[in-house]
Amino acid sequence: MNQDSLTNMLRMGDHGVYVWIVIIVLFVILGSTIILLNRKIRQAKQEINEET
Amino acid sequence: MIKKFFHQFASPKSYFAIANKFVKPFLALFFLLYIGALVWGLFFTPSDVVQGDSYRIIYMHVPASFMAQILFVVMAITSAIFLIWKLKLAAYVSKSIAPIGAIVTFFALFSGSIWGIPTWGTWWQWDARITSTLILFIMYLGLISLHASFENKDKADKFFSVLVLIGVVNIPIIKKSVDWWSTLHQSASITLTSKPAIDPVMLYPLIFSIISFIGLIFGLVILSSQNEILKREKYKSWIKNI
Repeated sequence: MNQDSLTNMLRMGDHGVYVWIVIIVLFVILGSTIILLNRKIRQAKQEINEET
Repeated sequence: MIKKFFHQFASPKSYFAIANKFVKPFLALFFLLYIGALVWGLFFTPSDVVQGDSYRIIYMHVPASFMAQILFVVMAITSAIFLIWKLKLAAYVSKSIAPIGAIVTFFALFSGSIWGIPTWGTWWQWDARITSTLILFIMYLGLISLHASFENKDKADKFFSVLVLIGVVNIPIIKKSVDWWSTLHQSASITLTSKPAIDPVMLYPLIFSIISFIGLIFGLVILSSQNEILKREKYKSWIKNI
């Protein structure tokens, strides 16, 4: 696969920008939810350990 | 034996221990599978004759819309279990689904709006499918606020569960909205009773993306329920040993 065809594949034509906006928002949402939940669980465990 | 197994698993302690062991590999597996499904759908399927490449949003929008509804149905089932059998774990799971459901529904609305710009020429229409999904999003937010507004969490669980059971009536309305009313939103491309109205080249990555997204979101629900258990059971003796 040469560089031009790879670029075309990633651009996804004239409407590629809409697809990329959705991809970025999806991964920001998923990533931040996973990070936030893990952080909350860690904090809760820490609080429980400190109390004991 | 089955009854014993369910009683054992239905205790927050057993559930937490099992979830703690499996949630991370489970999440990682379905995250990778979903990325695989996206790569397949986004880069290795042909463009649509009518919509061009914007149709590729389908691999994110359809799994999210499907999950937004499935999560509410699961929440209704766990709420019913809580109200009938008074299982605390069911109330915790029910409560922990609400924020994940709100996030997924928001994303379904957002991705649909973005898809609407090149396809319909507008990002919003007050049509039956979109409006009923917006109502679903508002219901998720309402349920989260309702639970947070109660000091007494046992009372909150009861009100929450009753409202979920009332709200679940919106799910068949969302599902059937495209058949009952003349809407801008297209009718279902995949049904159980008829042949899919979508080419297999595009259909297989779509099915793969839906299945992997279901796993990924249930992984988030498990993580969210662990957080809920830690908050609600923090004064219990078993939790000191985790």
